[in-house]
Amino acid sequence: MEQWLQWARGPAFKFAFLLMVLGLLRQIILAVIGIAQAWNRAGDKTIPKKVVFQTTLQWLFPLKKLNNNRPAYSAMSVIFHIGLIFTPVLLLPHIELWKRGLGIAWPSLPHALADVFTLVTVAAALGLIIGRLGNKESRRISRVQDIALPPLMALPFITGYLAMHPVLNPIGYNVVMFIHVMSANAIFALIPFSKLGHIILLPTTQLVSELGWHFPAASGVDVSRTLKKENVPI
Amino acid sequence: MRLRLVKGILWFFAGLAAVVTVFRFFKGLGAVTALTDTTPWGLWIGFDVLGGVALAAGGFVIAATVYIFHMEKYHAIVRPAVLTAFLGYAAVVGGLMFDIGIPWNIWRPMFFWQHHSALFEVAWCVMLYFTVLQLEFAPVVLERMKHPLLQTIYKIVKFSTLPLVILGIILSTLHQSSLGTLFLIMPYRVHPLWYSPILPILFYISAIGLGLSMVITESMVSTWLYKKHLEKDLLNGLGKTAAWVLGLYAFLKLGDLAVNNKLHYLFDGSWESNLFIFELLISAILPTIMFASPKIRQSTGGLATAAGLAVFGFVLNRIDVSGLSTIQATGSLYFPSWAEFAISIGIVSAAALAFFFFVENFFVYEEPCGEKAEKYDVPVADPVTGVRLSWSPLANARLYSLIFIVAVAFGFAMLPDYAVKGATPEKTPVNKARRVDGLQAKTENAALYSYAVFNPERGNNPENGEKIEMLLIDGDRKNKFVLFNHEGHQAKNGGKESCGICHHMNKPLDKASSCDECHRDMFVATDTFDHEFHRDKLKASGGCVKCHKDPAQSKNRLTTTPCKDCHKKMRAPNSFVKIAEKDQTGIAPGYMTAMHKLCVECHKQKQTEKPELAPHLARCGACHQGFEESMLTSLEPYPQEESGAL
Repeated sequence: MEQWLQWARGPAFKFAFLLMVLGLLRQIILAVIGIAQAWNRAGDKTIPKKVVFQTTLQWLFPLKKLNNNRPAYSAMSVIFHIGLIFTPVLLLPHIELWKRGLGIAWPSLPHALADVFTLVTVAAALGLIIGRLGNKESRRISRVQDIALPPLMALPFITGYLAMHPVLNPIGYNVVMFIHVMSANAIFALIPFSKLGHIILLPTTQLVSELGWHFPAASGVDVSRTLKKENVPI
Repeated sequence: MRLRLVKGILWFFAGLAAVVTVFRFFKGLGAVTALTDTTPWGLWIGFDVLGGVALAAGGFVIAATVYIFHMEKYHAIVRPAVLTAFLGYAAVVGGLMFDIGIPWNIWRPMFFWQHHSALFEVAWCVMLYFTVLQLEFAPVVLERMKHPLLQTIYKIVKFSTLPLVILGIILSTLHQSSLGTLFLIMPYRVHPLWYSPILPILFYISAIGLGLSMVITESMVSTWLYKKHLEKDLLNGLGKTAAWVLGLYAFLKLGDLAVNNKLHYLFDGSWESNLFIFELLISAILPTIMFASPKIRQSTGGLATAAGLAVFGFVLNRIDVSGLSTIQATGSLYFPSWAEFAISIGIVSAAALAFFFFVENFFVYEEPCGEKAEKYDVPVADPVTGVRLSWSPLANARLYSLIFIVAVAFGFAMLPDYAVKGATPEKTPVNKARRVDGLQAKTENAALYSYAVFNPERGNNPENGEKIEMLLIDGDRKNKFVLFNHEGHQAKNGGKESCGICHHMNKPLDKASSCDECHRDMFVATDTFDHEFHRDKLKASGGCVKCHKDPAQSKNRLTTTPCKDCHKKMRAPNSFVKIAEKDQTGIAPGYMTAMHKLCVECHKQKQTEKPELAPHLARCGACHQGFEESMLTSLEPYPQEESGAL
């Protein structure tokens, strides 16, 4: 198991992490080029900057969304995001790894608070899955990744908690660490290739949904010609 | 689909090469290659440089055919042949940048002329011919440009086609043969089967044969990829010429062996002889026979096989001359690291991608080639953005960039740690300093004592000096040593009480522990702290919390109980070696660093304190005396004391 853990922390981690960094870079470049192309083709070249900015902010801090038709689900999602971002970044053992690898460090969460964050995040992930599968409409529109990702995201949290609390751990430190590292690797590698990509594409998402529907200049004529309804009043 | 698959594979190799490139240039040759001082020319020279130059020979051969011999029917393949040559030379120049240890010094041969150097000719030929190739190919790009200035340049370049072609032929001839000349200066390194006074001629003729084969290969590949009509008539003619050239090459090669009485090497059964026979068969003899038969020349498979064999055979020939044939002389086995293969294949991939780019966007063939895109795909939702748009002209860029970054990440994960962090010295365990009989002498005028190992055969002549017990410090036992007058230093520094000045740390239950007890490696820092030992010892009295007092803190050296809290007498007071509190983590620097730091720093201090007594005390020669290996053969060290330490 020791060697497997070494492998997960070494080559597998390097692969997954670099793939994430480069993959996100690639997505953002492609998104910008795609937007530029859409804009060049568009007949109506106005960009509603204010609307884009406001909706982006609304999604970044979704306080307003809490008041929609499924407030509990939305709240859970917000909590899930907070736990997801802050726990791993501010966890002391992770900061030690940054310090050792790249020589950079920042303040950490207290031990007990990190435990609370972890458990809350796991609970929120559980809530999200129940909320998605328990509701007929949302079950119907769910893709595979919508259902599979929350449990995968919760896995490093569960195994991380077990690794920090050996008394509760039924399967041995190395095994639990292996699952911890490998599930995190899987998440890193999936980020640029799944809906997790929104961590970098968020600023462009609203822009795409605005500009993507600006039709090319002559598209009206094309449509009427295709439908054989030229010169017919709409 | 075919084209996308091939391009996808090429992009993958380009990605692998890209990541190796980063570490090659930031961490050096040693970090990514298997090259050594005995084998400094490896795969990059053999394959990329020598092979690349030879593969590019098609350019000048076809240009000469059309513009000098006026065989106009070959006009259709001038542009692809020149493009292949141009990209081949670009790959050579790129490969050289990887291989040259200090690539930013590449401009030097332009200004510092070494008329006697074979490499001087090579360097100038590469530079000039690469420039000529750029000018020869420039019209293809310029003719599509509308800017009036570019149009003027286009007309000038087009007008000077013939002089450029002539210049290209001259420079090619010089360059192809000068690469052979390069190996004339190493008759004792290259195996007799490959070494020959006519190497330059052999290189030149084989380059022509290879150039023809390469043009055939390249025509067939682009025909297959772009589903074009195959110019079989042209290839037939090229094959016929290739048969003559390759036949001449084989004849010259065997004739040369016969004239120089080297034929017996051919069948002496060594692996070199087998390699030579294999190489000659696939590079020259088989292709000659195949190209000579009109029936085989007519069949696509036959042409492809013959040309492929020749291309493979001559690349092997260049690798043999520059590398494999030198193994018996150097006795050093070199096998390229995967990173070297990655660079070699990556450069070729990048050149091939550039070839496709020019073929698809310019009039290299009669018209720009390209795959017709499927216009009416069913829209699929993008997994990341969820957008259902498949019109994107970025579809190819999406695919290739994906393959590229996967390759980069994969390559990064595969690179060993030392490639990423830079090469570190090999582990060299330190051996104990030995007590030996030494001679100490001081002449009237000399400021310093001179030392030597006592040699009983030469006798203890009083003029030679005084026989005293000394410490022979040669940590790696590599016949380089320092003789150290331990008793003398002790007496000068204040007798038995002064040990702590140098012996700054005592191991538990020990006094004045020897240097090598903690500084255990010649060059690499080592850890003096044994975690397992402490864990087992302290299990009974409380375990981990004995040292890791605060479980909320991460477990590292800085947050743990310092050694001195338990081992009170570990550090000697008033030592010359002063270590800051935060650095007292139990990591001992390498032996050499530790010795140099201690001795040189102290000598420097003494030198400034009493400049009249010891003006050269801090110089290398004060300690490093008498590098005479014979001294060590007559050496009989005293019995060594066992250390009392744990």
